[in-house]
Amino acid sequence: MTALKITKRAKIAGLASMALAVTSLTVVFASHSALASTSPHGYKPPTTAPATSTTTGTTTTTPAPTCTCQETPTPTPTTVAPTTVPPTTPAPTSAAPAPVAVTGNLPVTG
Amino acid sequence: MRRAAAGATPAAAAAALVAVSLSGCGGPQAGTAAQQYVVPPVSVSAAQAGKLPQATTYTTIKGAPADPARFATTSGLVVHPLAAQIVYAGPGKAPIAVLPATELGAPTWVPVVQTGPGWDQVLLPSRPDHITGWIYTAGAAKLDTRHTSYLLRVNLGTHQLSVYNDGKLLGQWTVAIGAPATPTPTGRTFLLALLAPADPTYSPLIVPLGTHSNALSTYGGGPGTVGIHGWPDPSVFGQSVSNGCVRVPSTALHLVSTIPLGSLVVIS
Repeated sequence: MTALKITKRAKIAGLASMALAVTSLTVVFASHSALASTSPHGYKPPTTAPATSTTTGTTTTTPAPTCTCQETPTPTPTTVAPTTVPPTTPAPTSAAPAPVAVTGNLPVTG
Repeated sequence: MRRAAAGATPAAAAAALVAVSLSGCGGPQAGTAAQQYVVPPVSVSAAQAGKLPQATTYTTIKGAPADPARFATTSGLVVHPLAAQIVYAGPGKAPIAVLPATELGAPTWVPVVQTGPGWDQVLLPSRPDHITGWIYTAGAAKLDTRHTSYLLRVNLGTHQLSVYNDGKLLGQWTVAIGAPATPTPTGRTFLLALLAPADPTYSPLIVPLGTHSNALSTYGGGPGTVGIHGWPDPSVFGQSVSNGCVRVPSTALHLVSTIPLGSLVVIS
């Protein structure tokens, strides 16, 4: 009699535990479903591909400094081969000629 | 001496180069050959050149750089374009004018106020006063480059004209200058031409300068060019009575008439 009672109580307890477990699973599933429907990038359970999820977020929200640097060409020193040009001012220059008067007139401000 | 210079064609443009280290005002200096890279000139077609103003005493040139040192002397370098030369606003900058081979019937001579590798900055005789332009000297066209050791100084305060050769005072004269309403313009300019009027009235010779009256935009049908010339009445000397010109005694005029065109005249 006592053993029967104990068995019944155990069954009841087991059923209760199972019910509680089912309820918990339902809540977990529902929460996952909700996340999946609201996330802009589509929610993926962490167990499927956590690395991909992280990478996607980083790429879209944070400018990658490396890319920016690569877009700006690094100035490379322009090496112009030394070109020999004539000296700017030839050292000795001959004297300018004396003027020759030209017949003509310009009405200067006398 | 003659040196080759390029007019409007920058054929060697691609090959050339950058970075000009210009010499300071007061005259050309020989730079270090290893650093002398020549900035090529902007290409100018014949049609474009035809639309540029001539750099003469009659014209006004826009966009010309101002004289970098209005009262400084130079080394005495003067250039004569053997053919018309394009004048630029600077090495590698826009063309602004054409410097003709002759001015007022005589060869054009202009003073060099600054040089850089392949370029000379020269005073121009056009309005507004105290403008300059750059001539490309490293190409194919021709320039006659000479030296003048003469310097003329006009002191408006003392009414004195002083003529120097190689720093030595050759003569000093009391002269007449512009009246208060028509003052003689100050700054450095140059001997532009030597004219002998066929029918002289007040002077047998007239030496137009590369500057103009600031008060008179025209005078007697001319562009208001200021000049040096004689005057029959010696009582004017020492007075501020002219329309801007410098009236000088005959001995002074005779000496001035022997000084090479392009020589500097500093009026202060």
